[in-house]
Amino acid sequence: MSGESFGDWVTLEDQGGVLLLRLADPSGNYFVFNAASVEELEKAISAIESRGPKGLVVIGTERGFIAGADVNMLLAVDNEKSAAEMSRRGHALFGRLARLACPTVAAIHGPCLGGGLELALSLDWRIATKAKETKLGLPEVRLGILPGWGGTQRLPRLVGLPNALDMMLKGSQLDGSRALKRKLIDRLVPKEWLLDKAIEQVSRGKPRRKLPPIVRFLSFTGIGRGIVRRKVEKTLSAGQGRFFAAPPQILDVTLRGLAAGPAGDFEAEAIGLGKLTASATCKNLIRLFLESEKARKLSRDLDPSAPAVQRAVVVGAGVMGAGIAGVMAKRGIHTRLVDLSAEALSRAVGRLGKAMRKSLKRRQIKPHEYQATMDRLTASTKLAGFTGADVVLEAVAENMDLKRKIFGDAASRVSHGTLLCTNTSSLPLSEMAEGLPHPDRLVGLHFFNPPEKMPLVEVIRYEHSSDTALARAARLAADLGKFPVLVRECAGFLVNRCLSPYLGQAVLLLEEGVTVERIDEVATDFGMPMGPLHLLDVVGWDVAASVCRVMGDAFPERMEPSGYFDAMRDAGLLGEKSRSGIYRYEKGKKQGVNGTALALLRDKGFTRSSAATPDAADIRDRLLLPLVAEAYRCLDEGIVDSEGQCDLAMVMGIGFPPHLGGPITWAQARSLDEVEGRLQILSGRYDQRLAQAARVIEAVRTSDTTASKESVSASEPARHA
Amino acid sequence: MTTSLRFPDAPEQRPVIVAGARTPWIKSGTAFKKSSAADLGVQVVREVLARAELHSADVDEVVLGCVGPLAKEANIARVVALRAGIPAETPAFTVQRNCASGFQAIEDAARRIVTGEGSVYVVGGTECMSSYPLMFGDRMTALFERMFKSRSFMQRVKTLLSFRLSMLKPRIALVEGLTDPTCGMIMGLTAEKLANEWGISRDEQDRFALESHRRASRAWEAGAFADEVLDVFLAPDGTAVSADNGPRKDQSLEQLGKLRPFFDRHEGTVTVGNACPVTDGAVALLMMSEAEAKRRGLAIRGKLVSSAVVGLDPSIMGLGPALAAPAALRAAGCTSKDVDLWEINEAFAAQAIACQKALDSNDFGRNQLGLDGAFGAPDPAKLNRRGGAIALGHPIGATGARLVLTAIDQLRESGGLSVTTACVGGGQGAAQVWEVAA
Repeated sequence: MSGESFGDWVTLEDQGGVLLLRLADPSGNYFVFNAASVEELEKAISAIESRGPKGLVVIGTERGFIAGADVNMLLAVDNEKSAAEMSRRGHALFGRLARLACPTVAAIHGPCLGGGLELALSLDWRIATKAKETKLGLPEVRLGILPGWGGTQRLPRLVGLPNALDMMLKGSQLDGSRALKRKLIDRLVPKEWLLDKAIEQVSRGKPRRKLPPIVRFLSFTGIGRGIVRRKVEKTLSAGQGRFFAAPPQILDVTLRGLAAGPAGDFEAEAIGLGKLTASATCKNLIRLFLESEKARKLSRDLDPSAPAVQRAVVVGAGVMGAGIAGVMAKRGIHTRLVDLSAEALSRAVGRLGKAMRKSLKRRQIKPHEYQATMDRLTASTKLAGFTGADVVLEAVAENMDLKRKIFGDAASRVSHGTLLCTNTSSLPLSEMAEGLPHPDRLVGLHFFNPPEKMPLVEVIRYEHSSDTALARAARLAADLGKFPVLVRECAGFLVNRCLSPYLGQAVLLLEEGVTVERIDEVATDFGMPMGPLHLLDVVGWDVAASVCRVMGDAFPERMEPSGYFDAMRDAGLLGEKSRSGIYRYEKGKKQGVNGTALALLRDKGFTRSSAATPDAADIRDRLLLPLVAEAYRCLDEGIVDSEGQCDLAMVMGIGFPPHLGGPITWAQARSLDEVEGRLQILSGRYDQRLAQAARVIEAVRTSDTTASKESVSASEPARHA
Repeated sequence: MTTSLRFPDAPEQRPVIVAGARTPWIKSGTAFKKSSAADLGVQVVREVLARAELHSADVDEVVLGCVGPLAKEANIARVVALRAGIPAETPAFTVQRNCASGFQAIEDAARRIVTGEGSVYVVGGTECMSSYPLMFGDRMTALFERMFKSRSFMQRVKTLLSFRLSMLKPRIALVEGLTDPTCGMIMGLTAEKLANEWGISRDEQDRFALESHRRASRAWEAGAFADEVLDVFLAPDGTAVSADNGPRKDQSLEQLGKLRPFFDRHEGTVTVGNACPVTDGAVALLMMSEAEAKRRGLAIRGKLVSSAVVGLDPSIMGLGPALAAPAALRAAGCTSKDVDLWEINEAFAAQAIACQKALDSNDFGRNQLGLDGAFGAPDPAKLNRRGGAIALGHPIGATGARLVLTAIDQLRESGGLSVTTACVGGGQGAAQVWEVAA
């Protein structure tokens, strides 16, 4: 085949009068838009325009179509004007494609995301493969921006306003069959026939499409759009939505485009993109995205040959064990869940069953997939099935003897290379490993509650863990859809250790007489998904008490917990699970503040006087600055490798507001000077222990050698914008 | 006609069992009513592999017995194997010899071990009689056919008008399956015939049934089933099913005596109380050659010595064990005296008693077994020590393998020789002789 090449990325071939525009990354990765590839594309389009072919097919490679824009390009943009300019350049480029006189076809296999889908939208036809790697979507909102290359203008015209907003606001990715159902694509074909079908499509000429009347009403009339707008605005302002500028901007720009008539309002899109791209939120979200990609690659970095886990034994069917085993079964791992209690096993199977029935009812899965998932979870009271297992994970009660017995038992029966994982959050691994024939195979794999939902897994390295074992554990976490962050063993590991002063200050504030609502409100206003006291209810005061005890023992000078934790536990005010903690709960829903918990505070003499009454800023900083200081301590001690991974862990582990980028990024944005100053003031005003935190910040601020400072490597090309 | 086989002694060829497990035996229409035979099969196949600490990839083939799988579970052994996580590369097939299907699965795998085709087999049986369907009758089916063929609107209306309410009367697969198509007798009537021919009274049958319940209940109380039976946690709600629900601890002779005969309502003696209930359950065993088990360091739970199947008049099918057990024992070179444990399936009390009487009969021995006199009846203390199908139940495709599992489990401590045997609907008997080392 003779082809004309425009550089490394873009080639043009003639196939019987139909031109084939091939997009390929020279390094074999997904094709992305960057300075080089966009320039080549511009040249190629000029060539197409001058040749006047009878048709054009745009196609990617075996691996994929287009994964979007290189996010480093976005990271480099620092002002509104150049961001808007970037958008206009895309408009011009795709506009030329849209104006071609011949029929044009996007032949899509693999990812077709962001700018990739926007390119496809500017063509006449879209044909996609049935392969499961085929994904279409506009995920820009997840990076705090909007689809700036015509997506907000072209998508609603193709699929109607409701569908378009749903896709753009959620940033969801559709597989081929869902894309076909939403009329985002015209045909769904087997991957082997993609090119043939695409060329064949040229003979069908230009498309004539008509949306259903109701969709036309909602998209192309002022009244209809008003209905949609009101409905969407309501959902945008809920919860943490208020912290994000992108969704309302997407809504606004999209509506403007439709109101402007057939030509659309591409300029509004460009200006919107400019505003969002230059914002700190966008930069923070992109950095977190890059960090999350790095976390996903953790296994490969440690040991590229780490095999996937196919069979697992999970011991302990409590909340954590049952949840982890369920996630494993869902993700294709044959899992044997062992517990002495048949009731616990019954609940575990019921928990997975309920979730899977729900997915089945919503048609997210097919009946055979439901069945296969349930079949993959074996619940048994017999400790057996170790030989075939690639991993034995214990999630039993925090009892050293029990854990050692389980691993001892397993180690004598497992086959070569079986990974031993503990979900402990407080017991030392080195002690757990005593007597094991292969202590190097023991790794901590610390999931967060509930494991089905929480995206973070701390992969705990202790003195004997081998890279191979850590890599395999990280691979397991990633295969379960989680983000593994490598953490060196210490009390509380990274997340609970940083969380501990935060929760400690919350209880201290309570003891000083600040109301429950006020404390939680300040935290949620800051952007936390829930307040610290509500969080304690969710975690359970019994769990919190024992974790705080461990932290207090490890760091008595700054984390000695208030007696209130034990008092709550002893009073049976455990939180959500006992339907009464700081708040009351009915049918799983949070009700008002629990008078019993407040009475306990008074009666047991936990109340204390305070020299000053803290205002919102004081409360916020008392909660969060000690957390920041603890994060810096962890960096200094090498508990976590980089500031970026630390931020990622705190965002994914406790829901630190992602738009602020994580505790380290947030503190640096405020400047460490200010943070140190505030801590000193707070220390004088409320709690002398905060002076220690101030000293940590001071040390960081003044140290020249910032060994732990390691920003995201910019050379790593990242995708999906 | 009798076919029997003595299995070779050579360790490479001797079939042995290294692990086994069954679900609780559950009366149809109760705890497993929403399950299918494959669902139950998955539970036990997964379990035996775990118990033996065996990689599923090391299994050479899966052989399961099943009489009434769902239409979507054709070759149910394959469905079960794949669902249980056995690799796609491992083949599987299903066998059916009615009530002896479980024996047949063992037999088929055993013969493959002998010929060296393979050395590791998952065998067993599964049956979910709850899921046996109701079917449309011939007239309704014909109406559907006419409907499919009707093209015009008028034709369709005309076809619809030919519908009669009586067409909705279903055919019951369970009843049809339990009725012999050649002699027209439902299984219960074949038991009535044996009761008449061998002079077995209603009282005798009820006492036998009572003993079955007593023994099964005692065995459960003593924890004898702890190893044999696994806990099933049903999807999607996780309901735990942990014990057989057939055995009645407080069963009394009076209660049994009050039941009306079920099959011959006027003059009969066979009631639902002295017959086995319709049952759901599955059992799996892990079989390999003796040499293979030793190589893997697995404890041998039982060795297959010999097996036999016989044919007889379908209307007296219940007498099958009286022919098959002697044939298998003869192949093994043993007599009645050598047997430490008898497991005779209790399809009906009348049938099980008839077998004992036949084995004790000089006439039967001379005329049917070609002996000088009686073969020798089992000592009641050595027969069905943990109760039998009348108390536990009889999921037909699984029963044979259950008899073997319970036999080797009972001999675990003492060791010894056991004969396991069942009558087979359609007029057959099947038996296997197993040896357990002390």
